[in-house]
Amino acid sequence: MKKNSPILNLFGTLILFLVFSCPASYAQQIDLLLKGGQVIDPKNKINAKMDVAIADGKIVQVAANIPANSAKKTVDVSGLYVTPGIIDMHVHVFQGNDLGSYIADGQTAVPADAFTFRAGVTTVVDAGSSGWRNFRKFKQQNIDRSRTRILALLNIAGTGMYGRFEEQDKADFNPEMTAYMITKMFPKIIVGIKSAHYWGDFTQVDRAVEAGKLANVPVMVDFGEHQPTNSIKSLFLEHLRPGDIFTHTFAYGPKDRETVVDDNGIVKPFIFDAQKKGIIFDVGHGGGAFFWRQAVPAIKQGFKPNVISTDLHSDSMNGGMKDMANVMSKFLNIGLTLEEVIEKSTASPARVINRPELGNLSVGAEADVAVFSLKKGEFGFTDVRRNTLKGTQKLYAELTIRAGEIVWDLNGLSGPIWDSPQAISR
Amino acid sequence: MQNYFKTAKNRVLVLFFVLLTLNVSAQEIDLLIKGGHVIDAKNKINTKMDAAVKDGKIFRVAADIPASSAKKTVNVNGLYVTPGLIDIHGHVFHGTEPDNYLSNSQDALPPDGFTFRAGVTTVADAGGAGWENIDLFRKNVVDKSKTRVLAFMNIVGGGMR
Repeated sequence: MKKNSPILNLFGTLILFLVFSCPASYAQQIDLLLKGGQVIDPKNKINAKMDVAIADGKIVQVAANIPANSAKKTVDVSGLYVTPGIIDMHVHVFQGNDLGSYIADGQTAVPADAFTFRAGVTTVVDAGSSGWRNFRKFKQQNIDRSRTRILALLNIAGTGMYGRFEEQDKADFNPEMTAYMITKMFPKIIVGIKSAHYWGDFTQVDRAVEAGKLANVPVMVDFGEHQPTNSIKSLFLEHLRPGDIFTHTFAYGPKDRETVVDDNGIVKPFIFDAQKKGIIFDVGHGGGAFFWRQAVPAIKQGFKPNVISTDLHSDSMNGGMKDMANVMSKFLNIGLTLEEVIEKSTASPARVINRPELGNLSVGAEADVAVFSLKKGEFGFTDVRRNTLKGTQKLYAELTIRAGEIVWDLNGLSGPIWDSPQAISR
Repeated sequence: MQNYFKTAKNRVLVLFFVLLTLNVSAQEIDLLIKGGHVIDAKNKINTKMDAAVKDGKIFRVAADIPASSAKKTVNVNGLYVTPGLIDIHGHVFHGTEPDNYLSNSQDALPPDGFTFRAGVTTVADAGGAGWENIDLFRKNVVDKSKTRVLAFMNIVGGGMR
């Protein structure tokens, strides 16, 4: 190639042009600026009026008074709360049309995107809908085709939550295959193991913990459906490890599930010990696992869940659960502070599933952001028996941002007024 | 029989049984939606009224239906009571076919997660299914939904694949 080819000259001119035009583009390096909101980022101990700047899908700056002229687009979020994208650590989103199945590829699971963004959620953890036998189908059919970040707990039962019957099959609780599926196949997506719906003794939990040790991940236990009940004290102190998760914390099914609060409304003393030991208490509201008679006295007596989550599926979506913002609001109305509620829905679940890069607004983090309004007024919140608790405040997801992109805008905060000069005309 | 009513004691007894019957009919309404402003366009109603439900049907719409006549009363003061909404253009033929658009695919959605929270009780799927797959639509969606699902059948046999 000749040294003075016209193409090279043109190329050189182009580079010069780009270099000189840099200062101008530098002034607008921020793609999206959320301005004037109250930032609550518990991991970084921020609870202050600050602006959040996003570029190339990442958080680039969180500071007071970032100038609007440095951003291509600015959204005024005055009077609103800006938080990390919410993590819902307990959902069922392996949705499909196998009519013989309960949740695995079945209709009791729901499509994630339909419920997440409108509640401020950007990451969900599917809680054992699939096992090692059908996880790949789940990945291909649902995980890879969702805009929500979907992580998963792998069921210790190979067929996942195909049905209660299949979940009893000891021969299909395979710690080795379960661990391999995590460590060798999908370490980025599978963050733990699920044990649930078992009618027998501690066998299923123990196999799940065995797999958890092999793969070095936590185990989540739904410890119901034993008649008579199995001891949760034994579960916490003799079977689970620090970091393992007890879900459906505020369930009340005294015949088949030992409760956290006793019949006199007192939190059992060993519950505090278990939490101190490192057992993680997850809400997992669901269609049958959240009772005011458990939650209200527990919070009053100082026992707070570590993680707030929905247990989203088709039998919970239209009942007392509704969506993640509603479940978060419930805890706000029974005594948790807004900062606590956000922490238990962002930094805390991120820590529990060993994904420290999620659930915060640190510079460099993927720009998953939620913006909430906190409305004051007369509200009512129902539990799974449709008993009502009257409340005075409720969170609404106004804006949800996933990897820098606005994926939910409840009241049109981010759009130009339709008949203004800025309106998009195409 | 006429003689029966002549004694005071028997008259009291009859009165007692009549009252007992009233008491039974006193709770004949299953659900009373009380104190709301009813807007029922077809029946040209736009006024404060109560709506009573019995055996899954509308039983009575009138002012001041007594709460004592209902097993359950919900106070809806300050709220509007309307017929369950009908959304005649939805796409609910949800499924898992990776390359399909609104026919047995993920661009279509299961109705129950969207209808009830918006006041909708009936949805019409607008052409997701054609004659080739409308039976699958019935099996997977219509029969499995709590929402009443109706359909416009697409003139294309495969619907909106």
